[in-house]
Amino acid sequence: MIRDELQDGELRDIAQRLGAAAAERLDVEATAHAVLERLGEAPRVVRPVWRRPAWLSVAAALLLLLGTRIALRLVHPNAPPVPGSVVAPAGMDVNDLSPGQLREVLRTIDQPVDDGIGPADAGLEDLSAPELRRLLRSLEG
Amino acid sequence: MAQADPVAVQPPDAALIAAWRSGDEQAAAELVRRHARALARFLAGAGALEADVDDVVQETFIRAFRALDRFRGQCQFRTWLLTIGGNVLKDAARRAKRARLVPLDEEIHSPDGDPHERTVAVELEGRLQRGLERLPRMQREVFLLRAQQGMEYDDVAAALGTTPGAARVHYHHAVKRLKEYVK
Repeated sequence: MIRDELQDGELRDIAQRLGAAAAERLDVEATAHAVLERLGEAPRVVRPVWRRPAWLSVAAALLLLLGTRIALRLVHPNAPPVPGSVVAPAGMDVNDLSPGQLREVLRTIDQPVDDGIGPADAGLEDLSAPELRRLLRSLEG
Repeated sequence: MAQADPVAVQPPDAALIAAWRSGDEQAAAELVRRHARALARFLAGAGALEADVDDVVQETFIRAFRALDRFRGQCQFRTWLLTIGGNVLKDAARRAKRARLVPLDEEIHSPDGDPHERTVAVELEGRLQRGLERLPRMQREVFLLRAQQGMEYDDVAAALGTTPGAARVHYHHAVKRLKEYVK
């Protein structure tokens, strides 16, 4: 005979018995084996995470800078050089500049620069004199 | 005097999950061993056919391991697993449209205990199970996670994407309605 009144605790007790037989009948080892087998059938998919390399950001900034200069020259062909543009000391070749002078010239460009020389995240301080010259030449066009 | 065997230290679920992520298959097997029975109880309570429980348990683990990248430890692994089990069961029922309750006579044959008491207990379980099937899914899962699995409201809420307060409300509504079905 089932009573009319049912307490919360009794309801919980019944709930805890639900599925107990199914759980007991489950062959856990066979289940573990089957799961591993099925997981092995389809190798795990490792989703590639695309990270924008630093050099790409630098190249984009450089391209923007050069594009802006070209556009300015087209609009104002006789305009004086844009302040901050790359100007080597008069009468001097890039080859004649010391590393310190090269860094100073490059610092006048208020943009991150990189032409693929050295590691993508290297700063000016990390570049050797030949690398600085190559970089400066690439900026001069 | 007999000495107690030293208790083997069980690695926590998080350690097994990390090991599985780094390619240790046995870690996955250990997670299955650890949680398969609780999952089977939950699924049977939620309306899985007795004959289907094994398959649904397997499918749940497969889905869980494949989705493990999305598990951020927002709740216990078991709670997360049980909610995946609920989804697998729902999908299976939608496909087959044949989810039904465990027939009472399958349980009545149990030889344990007094036959009369056992019959009453089985009848109560059957009524509860039928009542659970009539509940909205959220109420059913909150009730099972709380009453059957003994989980805290915080964990239940995190697994089901609700608040502890709302989980509490769902639980009380479920209890109220289930009492009507069971009495």
